[in-house]
Amino acid sequence: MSLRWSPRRIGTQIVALAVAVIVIGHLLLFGAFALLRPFDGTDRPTGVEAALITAVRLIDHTSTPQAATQAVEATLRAYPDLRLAVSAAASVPMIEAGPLPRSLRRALGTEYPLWRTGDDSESADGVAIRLRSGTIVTAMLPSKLLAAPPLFGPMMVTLILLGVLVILIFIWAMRGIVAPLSRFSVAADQFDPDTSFEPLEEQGPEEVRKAAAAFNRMRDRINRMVEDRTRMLAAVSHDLRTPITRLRLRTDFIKDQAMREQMLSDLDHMNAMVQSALSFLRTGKAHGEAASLELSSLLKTVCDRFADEGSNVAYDGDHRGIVQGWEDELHRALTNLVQNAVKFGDNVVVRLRCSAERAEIDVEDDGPGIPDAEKMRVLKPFVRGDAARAMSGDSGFGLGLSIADAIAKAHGGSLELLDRQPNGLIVRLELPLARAPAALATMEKPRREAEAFRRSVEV
Amino acid sequence: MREMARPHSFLSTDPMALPHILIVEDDPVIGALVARHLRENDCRASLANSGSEMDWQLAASRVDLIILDLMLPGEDGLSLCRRLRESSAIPILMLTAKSEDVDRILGLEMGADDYLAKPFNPRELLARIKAVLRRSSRDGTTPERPARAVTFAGWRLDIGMRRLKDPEGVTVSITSAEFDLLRAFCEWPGKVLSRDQLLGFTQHRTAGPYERSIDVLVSRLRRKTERDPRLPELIKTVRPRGYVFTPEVEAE
Repeated sequence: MSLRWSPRRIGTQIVALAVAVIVIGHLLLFGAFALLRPFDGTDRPTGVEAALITAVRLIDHTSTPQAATQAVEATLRAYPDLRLAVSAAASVPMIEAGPLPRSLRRALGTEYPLWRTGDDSESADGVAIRLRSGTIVTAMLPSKLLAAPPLFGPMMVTLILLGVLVILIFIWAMRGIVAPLSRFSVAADQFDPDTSFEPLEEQGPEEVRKAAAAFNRMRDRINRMVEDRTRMLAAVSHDLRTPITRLRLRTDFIKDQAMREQMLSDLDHMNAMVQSALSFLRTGKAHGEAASLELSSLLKTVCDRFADEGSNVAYDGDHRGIVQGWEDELHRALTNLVQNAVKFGDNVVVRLRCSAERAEIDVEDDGPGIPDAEKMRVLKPFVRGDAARAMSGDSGFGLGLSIADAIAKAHGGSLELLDRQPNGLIVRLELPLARAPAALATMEKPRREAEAFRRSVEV
Repeated sequence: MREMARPHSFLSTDPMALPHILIVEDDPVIGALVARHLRENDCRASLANSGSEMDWQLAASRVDLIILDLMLPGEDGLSLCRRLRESSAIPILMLTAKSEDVDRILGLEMGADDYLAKPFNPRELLARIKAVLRRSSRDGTTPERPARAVTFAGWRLDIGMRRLKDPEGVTVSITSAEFDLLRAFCEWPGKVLSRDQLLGFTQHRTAGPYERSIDVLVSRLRRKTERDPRLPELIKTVRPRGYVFTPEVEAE
């Protein structure tokens, strides 16, 4: 029979083990006592029994009936409680299998048949012994000799003692082993190289202390590694700004328009990568006080910028939404999202929907979309979409989505990727509103400004 | 095409003499390139690559505006700026590799008039220089320190931070071009401004190939600032000449 319930926690395991030991031990002891009956009187007969045994032997070995009668009378006088008496054969009722003291049986039972007579009084039970001559001798033995003595008393005591012991062991195990282990796992879960932490307390049994010390050293190593790499990335990105600035300044002097365009485009890409790397390193770090921001104007600003560059980006929303946050961070997040959308789709719509407590910003494109299996993956930094999405000659490190995700979280919100029907992607940015939203005076319907736009000739 | 038009010549704003710009930048290549840009756009340009050279140049000739790089060997840009401010109201435009808000605030606290992050569009630089010079020369011989912010109808336009806050203190996001337009309106409240004039205030801003007309910019501003954009109260249309900014404007 396999064990259906197996305890998984140390505390439970210890308790289960202890309980099993106690129960099995007691069962064995109980069984042993029950079978062997060591308390069942001793093998040595008590005084009363000894008197009966002696009397029976003497009577049996008398040579004449008169001597026998004398022996009986003498016994009666010496041990009146025994109430020894001689009775005629076949007149003594027999109780089958009544319990008899073992010592008595051992002393007499092999030579003389003896049985309980059933002639019981309150405190004594009758026994009968048949002598060799056929005479039956009856006597009264105190009841307590015959009854099985309770095993209970001593057993209870040991049970209670062991129970207390188990509880003490359990408490020690919990404090000395289980508690430090839980602290360990909590500390490991909460560990974040970007935030400071308190070292794990090194206390408890030696093995636990050593483990805590090793854990603290590991945290330090990880922090140093992360710091080194962050510093290097920041330095490289920073230092790139000088050569990029030089190139940018030179580019304006290039007469060849086409050449200039291409160079400016590449420089834009380079700058965007530097920006994204630096902002990736910055997210999560302190960036000044949060302010009240109005969302519809922010979204319009982002949409207008892309529309001005010739992309088909429209805004759809009819509410003012006010959030607490950092304008340049949200601007960066939304720019990243719209940039992705514009890269992979032809038409992009940015929608703002406000409930009483949350604002929902959807950046919707009609591109190839992202398969479900990839959705979790692309939120991680340095991951770009698959071949289909990367076809347009991607620029950037693939940090856009992860930066937007981090910024959403920093504002107490969330980022979600959804499928657009029939094709395309919806990136949903949810933010908590600082106040209830107010409707705008005019409805903002999606406007295809860029489609209708004509290149302005005003200079 | 990315940038279509040449900026307006500085001659149109300052016909007396070409402005003398001092570029304090330790990277000689960047310094030379900026100087070349300035000279091709009707400015005189001089270079200094440290605080001490800057002092020498300032003593040697009259300087109308200083372009100051933040990262300099020896005395850094911020403390140079502070030092300059103690004795002069000369316009200072800070150039720096750092583009965080806090850096911008710090620069403005030190007394810079404007702040541009590297890498920058050289035409943006010229436009900002022009704007700073225009403001500083309007008042005659002793240019005033420009206001850090202006208020109108409960709104607050933070010139230094290029931010707009509504009467409830909520930040309303506006583009750089919209900011320039609004600032121009705030500089000339009650005066009818033609489209050409307004265009002069906002050129060189657009990053994209399509220059937005003033009408579109005004329409966008109205969507963000008016209670009902169809019945504007702040920016009113005056046909056929242009627009007028009606509220009273106060400098902080």
